Amino acid sequence: MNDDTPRAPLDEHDRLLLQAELDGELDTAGSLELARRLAARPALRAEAERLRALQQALQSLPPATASPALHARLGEFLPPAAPPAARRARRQPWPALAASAVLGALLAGTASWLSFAPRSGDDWIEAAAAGHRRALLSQHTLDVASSDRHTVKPWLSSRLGIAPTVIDLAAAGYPLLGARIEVIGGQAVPTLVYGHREHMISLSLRPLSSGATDDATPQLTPVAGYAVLSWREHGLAHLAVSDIDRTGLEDFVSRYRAAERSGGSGEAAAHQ
Amino acid sequence: MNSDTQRARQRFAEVVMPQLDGGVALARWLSGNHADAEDIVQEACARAFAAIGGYAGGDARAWFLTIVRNTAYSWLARHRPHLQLRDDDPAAAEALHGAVEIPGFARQPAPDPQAALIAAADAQALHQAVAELPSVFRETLVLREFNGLDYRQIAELTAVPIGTVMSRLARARAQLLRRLGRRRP
Repeated sequence: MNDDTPRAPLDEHDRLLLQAELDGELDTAGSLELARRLAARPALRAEAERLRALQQALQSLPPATASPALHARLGEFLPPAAPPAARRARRQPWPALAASAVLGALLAGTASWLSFAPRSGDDWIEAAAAGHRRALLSQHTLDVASSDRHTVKPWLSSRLGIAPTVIDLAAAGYPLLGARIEVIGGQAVPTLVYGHREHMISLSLRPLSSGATDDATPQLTPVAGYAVLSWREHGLAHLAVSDIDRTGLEDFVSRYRAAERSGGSGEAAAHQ
Repeated sequence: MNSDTQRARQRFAEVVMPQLDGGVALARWLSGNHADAEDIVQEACARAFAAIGGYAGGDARAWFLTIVRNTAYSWLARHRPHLQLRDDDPAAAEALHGAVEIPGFARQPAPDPQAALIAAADAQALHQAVAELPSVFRETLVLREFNGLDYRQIAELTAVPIGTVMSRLARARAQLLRRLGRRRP
């Protein structure tokens, strides 16, 4: 029933298949079928490219957020303020209280954007550090909170079309807390979030552009009080940001890389 | 404050507050402006608070977005009656299972210059193109792209079969591609 000759026009089934892939709704069999058709038909590849470009453009639009005024208007539904220490200890990192939410929104909305926007030089490193800091200030550290990598990976995959290897390092003292999506240089970037004692480590992963070579020696760049370690491996640029000390971050990175090497790096490839 | 109220508030903070931005985003796209969106979300929060005792766990995002969506339609019917049914031909909206035929568009060979145009579209153009989608297409697209729901969740939330969700999404995207893939004068 399916015409897979190179010049076959796109039909409804093709489009729905492409779209399901884009939305992370294809199972393995469907992905294989699509891959076979994509290889045979340039028109299908072009449509896939357009759909991917559209999705990336839409998802890089600035998200609508609740204003501080709305947070304030919701006070009647919220518990009375608790001491900050109690909030910090909560498992859920969301701004649960109106006051902190208002403060977080103000900080995230104004000061941090201005002070930590990437300037020149290595914009990616600075932007990753700014994203980490913004997340801490707004207390919005996670878009998906889960210590289960089998939850985090499909969540990222369905939103970004990129399925990074998600490694849990709980046994090494770095439990996976979840993930968020950073927008860096107009690109939506999966960012895994790990905990370490009272600290948080953000690990952003970006597919390398074609032609870029691996450089597996982590480079340290201090940015505004944060340590950033960056390296390129398995076709991905890795950026680890934290306020733990350099030795601690290096320990995290070496454990992460060791786990990545032994844990099926084939999964690290981007779909696109 | 009695302990039931206290529990409800605690639960609201845990269940609803993480979904607040997503609710505003959905209401924003359904209503067309941010101020209305926040009024809608405030009302939705009041309904969610009243219903929080009956929230049995499960996907908090889908639960809250369902409330936001229903609130948005009733709020808009009350406050913005001219918006209702403004842009939808119900026959066209529901007759979605036929082929999506896009003359002159589908058969272009790769590599594709339109993909580059789309990638370069500015935020305002994108915004406008989404805002001009027929509302059932827009709603489906927004739930997928901006709220991150999967097909099954969207089908449940909008009370249509999954096939309809897929067709609506395909239609929405085809219209956006047509709009944005055209070189502007």
